[in-house]
Amino acid sequence: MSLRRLLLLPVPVVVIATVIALAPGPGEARDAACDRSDLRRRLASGGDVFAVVDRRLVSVRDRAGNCAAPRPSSSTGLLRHVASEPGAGTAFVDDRAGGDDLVIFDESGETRVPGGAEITHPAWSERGELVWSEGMRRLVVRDPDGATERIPLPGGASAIFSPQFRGGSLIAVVAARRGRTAEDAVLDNIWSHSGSGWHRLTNFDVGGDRWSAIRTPIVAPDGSVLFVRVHGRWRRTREPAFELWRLRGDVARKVLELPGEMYLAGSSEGKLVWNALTRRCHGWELLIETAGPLRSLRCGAVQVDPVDASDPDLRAGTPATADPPSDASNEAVIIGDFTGRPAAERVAALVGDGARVVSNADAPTSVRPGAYAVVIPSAGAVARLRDLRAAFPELRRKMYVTSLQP
Amino acid sequence: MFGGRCNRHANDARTYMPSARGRNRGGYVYYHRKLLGKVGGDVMNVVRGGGKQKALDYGIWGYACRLKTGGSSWSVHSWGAAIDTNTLRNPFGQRHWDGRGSNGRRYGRFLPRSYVREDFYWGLNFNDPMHFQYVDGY
Repeated sequence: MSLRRLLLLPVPVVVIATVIALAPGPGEARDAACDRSDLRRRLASGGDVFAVVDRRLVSVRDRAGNCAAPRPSSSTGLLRHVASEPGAGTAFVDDRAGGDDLVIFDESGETRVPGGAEITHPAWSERGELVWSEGMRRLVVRDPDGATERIPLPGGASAIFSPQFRGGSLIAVVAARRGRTAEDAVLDNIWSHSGSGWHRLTNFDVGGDRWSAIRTPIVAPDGSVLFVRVHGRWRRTREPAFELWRLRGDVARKVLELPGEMYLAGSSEGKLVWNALTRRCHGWELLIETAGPLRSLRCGAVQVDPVDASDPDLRAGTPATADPPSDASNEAVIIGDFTGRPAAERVAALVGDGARVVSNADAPTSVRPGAYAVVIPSAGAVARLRDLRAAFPELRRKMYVTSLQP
Repeated sequence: MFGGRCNRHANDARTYMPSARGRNRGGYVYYHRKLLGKVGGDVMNVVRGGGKQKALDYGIWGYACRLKTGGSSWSVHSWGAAIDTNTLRNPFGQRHWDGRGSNGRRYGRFLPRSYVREDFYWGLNFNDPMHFQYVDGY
């Protein structure tokens, strides 16, 4: 099924942030500053829609001005992960160095809930309850009176995030405790929590170097859950797959393959709203499905992470922009491994041009013990690698650059 | 500088390191070709020159095309611009560096110094002591 085809389907969805009306796309209208009292009213009503762009909250509702709200006066960190619910309010994360704050605007005014850890992915229920992830280690559920309950992640899990209310229960994405590090995605599944505890709803599994992640689940009125699945192989230099899936009961089915990296941001009048990275926005853009191509709402991020600012818990700085110097005297192209010297010698003869066979004894940081490889010393090893891969495509997967150590 | 994530050059360089795949079980570490002089050259020069190959311990990783847990951000490993070393003793979330090598001997901060000297940023600053990256915008 094509994306365009999906876009024609009526998809009634309860929203992360209900996009109620369409604003002009980027460049069609200049942002206008909101007056602060109006901003607070609109945040508290939850009927407006806010996203984050340029470290500010912006509305996609205001037809007149595509209103950009100044950041709330009490916010000092990086704003992200905005959730709103008509009649309930708006909540977003004030991401600070150390513990984050969840900022809630509702009928009682502005409330700042300190998290003591990284807060992510707030979500509302229709009844005005809020749930979010704290430190990826637990969910926090806050009832409309402000009382909170903490729910630890299931046993055997390494992280929990992106919770949503579904009827009288909660669902959330749970990362399995598997792999070499908790920082990188390995295996996610959707779990449900009710009075009887946690139970898993989806049954994704991985092996070898495969990984499978679930992002931005949203719950439809019929109780089904739409989510984006991202999966790939971590050793491969290939773009991972992005797919839209739907979970009904405990049966998950792929709806369609997505054209690239995009995540769900909510829905409007039965149409899905997406966050995608675009050049037009130099970051996240909100797009809504139409009978034709996706239509831009404006720039902004709803439940995705900012790409234009560093997490305050990490050192703010600039990415390295200059190539590091190379020690050309030791650089070489290496072709291998081969289990026997004769096979390596045949390749060396084929390649010529100074190619020679080495073992771990000759090149201890380039070849594993027991194996043989062919090295072609070259002051411009990177360029030589490109040329050799073009000349010998059948050996391409065995070719690397290496630094020969005596 | 490193191109797009998971690009075809992000694992073009390789270095054989002791204990990369397990204690005293060596293996190849793959990373971006632009870091060849840093990782395969300077860092390994210091390790081997000092006779401190045993400072390297289980396990060591470079390129990995993956999202970070729970978010829409990508691991710096997706650009081949980071190395995780001695991961078993220095897991994500730990707030200190355990400098014991594969022989159990204490090497202190020998390895972190070797990477930091080459302008890598140490993940200990955000409770990821195994992690050394050549970008700091993260």
